[in-house]
Amino acid sequence: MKAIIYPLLAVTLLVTSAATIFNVNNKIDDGYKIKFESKDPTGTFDVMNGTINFDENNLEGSSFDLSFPISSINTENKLRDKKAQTSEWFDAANYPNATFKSSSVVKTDKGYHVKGTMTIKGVSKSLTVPMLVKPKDGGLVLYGGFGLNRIDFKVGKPNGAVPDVMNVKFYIPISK
Amino acid sequence: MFKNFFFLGLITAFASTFLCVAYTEMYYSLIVDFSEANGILLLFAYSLLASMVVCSVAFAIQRAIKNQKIAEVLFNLLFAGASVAGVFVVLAAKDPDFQTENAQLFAEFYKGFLMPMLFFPFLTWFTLKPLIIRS
Repeated sequence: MKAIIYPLLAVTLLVTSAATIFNVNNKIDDGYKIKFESKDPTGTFDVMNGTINFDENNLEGSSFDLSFPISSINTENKLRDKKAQTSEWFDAANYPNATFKSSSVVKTDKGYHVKGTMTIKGVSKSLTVPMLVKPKDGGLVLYGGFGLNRIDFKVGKPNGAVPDVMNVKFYIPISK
Repeated sequence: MFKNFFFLGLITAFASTFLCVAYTEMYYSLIVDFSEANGILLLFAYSLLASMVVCSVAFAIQRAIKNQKIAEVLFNLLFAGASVAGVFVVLAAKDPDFQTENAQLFAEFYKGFLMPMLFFPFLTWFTLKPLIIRS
């Protein structure tokens, strides 16, 4: 009995440390899309940074900490992209990133609700993002959409040519 | 017998984590702060994983090969080889998506920053071995 104590301890520590290393975060795979849509304009955030730790069996331990560089806004119109950087719109010089940090992930009938704080142009608002999940290539795809009122974040002026509410759609493939 | 290897592995894990923390803190204060990608828990997990694998392999080789000199040379070669192989793994790995402006600006330093730490378990093991495992 005494002879197996130390090998058992070694195996336990080995497994625990390996689990700690390999379960830290999911990898955000290439091919993600963060799209905003309205009557006009429509575009994408071409770059998304940060970490996703999503485990369907451990929602309490799941978290999202993402940032979206304003400089990566792409409406396929260079002049409009440049205008989006100005102080009237996103004020990229002072607020270079839009961010989303989750506080909880809860299961719903159809998928999940990711609750958290969205910060754009220095204004933080609570947000619940409905999210669906499907398997893909041995990993998962997180996808969904929600409406975001740009006026809540002081982006642009109300009732202008650009609609106040933008529909945000996301498609994020992740793997372990 | 395994007990000695186990304790050497455990002490190696703690000592190399201590070295890693000292090194990273100095690097962060002098050059660039990569702390968002290297928490103490993660450094300890890597050190512990490496040390437990090493102590198990060391014990297995010693049991399997009767000639102690050959067993020791083989183990040393494997351990040194694995540490050097770690350099290639780091070179081939993708950099983390850094959030802080400084880390993003100096992201090309990240791999060079990691490399010395790959050899900390190796150095610690051979420094402490004569104290715990007598030939």
